[in-house]
Amino acid sequence: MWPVEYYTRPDGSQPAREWISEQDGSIRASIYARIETLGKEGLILRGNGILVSIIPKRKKKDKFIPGFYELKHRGKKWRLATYFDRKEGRFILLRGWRKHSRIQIEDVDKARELLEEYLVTKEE
Amino acid sequence: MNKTPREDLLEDLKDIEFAKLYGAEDAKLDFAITLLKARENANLTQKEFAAKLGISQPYIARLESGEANPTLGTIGSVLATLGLRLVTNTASLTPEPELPVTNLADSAADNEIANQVEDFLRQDQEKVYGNSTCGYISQKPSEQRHIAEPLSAYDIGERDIIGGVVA
Repeated sequence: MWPVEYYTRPDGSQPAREWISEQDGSIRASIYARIETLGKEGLILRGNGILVSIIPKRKKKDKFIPGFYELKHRGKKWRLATYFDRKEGRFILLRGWRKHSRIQIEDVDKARELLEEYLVTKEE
Repeated sequence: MNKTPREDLLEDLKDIEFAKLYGAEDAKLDFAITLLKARENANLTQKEFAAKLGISQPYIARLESGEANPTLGTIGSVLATLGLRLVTNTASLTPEPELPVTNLADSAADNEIANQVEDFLRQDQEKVYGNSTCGYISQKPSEQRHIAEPLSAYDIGERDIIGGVVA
């Protein structure tokens, strides 16, 4: 079993949880089903397109971060940025969004900022 | 105390309409994982498997990501191609989680998992940078034998995938 948690910001907010709670029942059901499966199967989901590495589109500016993934549902068009903390063996849900365009640099950037915040906060 | 996703799910499942939606997603994902593992055990790529079945590779991808909604007959046909049959059973919708994988860096018992994790993460990095710094690997996800992860570089976006149907 792979623990899955929401990321809690220093101000106490949980962007992933807040986003999930705003979704309608059908989307929320698909999100929770994937989160549960992530908890059961872990990184094996890399093999079927449910858990996909987030690859920097601007390679000069952004570095590839191992463990930085998006949990996704193509048909329902949602993405949930997730970080696998290899040291703690757990997944951290950072933030989610509905995919409306092919490239989602802004959404990914926001998730990257949250990840950086998580990593810094963890160090302290 | 912060809630976990599981606690939120359990709360949502008190609503029967939500439980029905969740049950459908859960069943599709359960079959998806079973199929993924069975195909990998048979050492087949998605492309090879699709050719064997006489259906399209994108449809296999949709089955393995829990996005297709196959009939029981289709499931039977797909599994039969791998020499398998469907075994049905029921279990609690939300079984108690097994013991968590603890601190991967410190626990000797988790060494094997830790090694697997390191392999996975290294594979991710190699997919992006190759073995050196010369860009993307050329092998398409559907042709990868073991970990067939579709990378964003190959991501075809939200276009409709026309899947084949097992007769």
